Amino acid sequence: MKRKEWIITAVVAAIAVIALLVLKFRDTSSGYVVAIQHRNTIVMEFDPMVDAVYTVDGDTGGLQVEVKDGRWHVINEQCPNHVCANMGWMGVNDIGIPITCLPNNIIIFLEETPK
Amino acid sequence: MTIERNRRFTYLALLSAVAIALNLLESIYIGPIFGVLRIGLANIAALLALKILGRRELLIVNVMRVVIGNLLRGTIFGSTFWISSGGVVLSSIVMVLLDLAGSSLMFTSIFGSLAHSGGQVLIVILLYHQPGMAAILPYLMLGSIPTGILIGITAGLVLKRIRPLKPRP
Repeated sequence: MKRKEWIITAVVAAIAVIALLVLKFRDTSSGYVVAIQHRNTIVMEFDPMVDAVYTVDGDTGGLQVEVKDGRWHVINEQCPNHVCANMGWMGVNDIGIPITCLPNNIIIFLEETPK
Repeated sequence: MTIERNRRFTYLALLSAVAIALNLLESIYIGPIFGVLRIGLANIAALLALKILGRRELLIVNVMRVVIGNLLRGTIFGSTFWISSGGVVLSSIVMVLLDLAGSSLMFTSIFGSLAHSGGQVLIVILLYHQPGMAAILPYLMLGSIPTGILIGITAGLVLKRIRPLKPRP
């Protein structure tokens, strides 16, 4: 690989690291709800600070979302890939990646509410 | 002339088969790393097609891998199909452009991998009207660089062991 190519690759990596840091240290003082979207419709919203288990129907049978100590993760998913369950726990202070279950067409993401 | 044409056609068929097999094997046995990142082993076949056969053949191998791969998994024309198509279309465009610019195999592999992730995220954003999905991009960008290097090294090792074909007449 040429020197110029290494430099471009390093610049891209640096941009990614900066973007990750910005996401990690963003202002999380606002209120938040977690929304569950099936296809293009939000089918449920919940407070991440209240421990509970929510069940959602999806295209391949659906899944459950367990909420505990301000964090949430997918359990009992009925889909062939199990990617959403493998994504593990997400929280308000994490970098904000939506949990995605493509076979079920379900996305679980954080929504900011006005202060 | 005919022998050379047959050799090219055989290489194309073999590389398409390898791409489909690697794609299926990865999705069944390896799965995503850290929940979201895939190695993209099928890209080895795409890079080999680009370097041995040419740009048109890269497109053929990539189309075959998405269409037949999804057909075999039973996900054809579902959301997974459109998302993998987005990744493959963008990575093919980037790889062809980088090849035209005379970039090295490794650089083409890294940016092909980056474009693949970018294309997939773009389709998810459009499909689900979910701009928040862009938050995954820096994570995927950081992951795509080492996987692109790994794929580039592997493709380079294979290229050293393959008898080159005569240029297309």
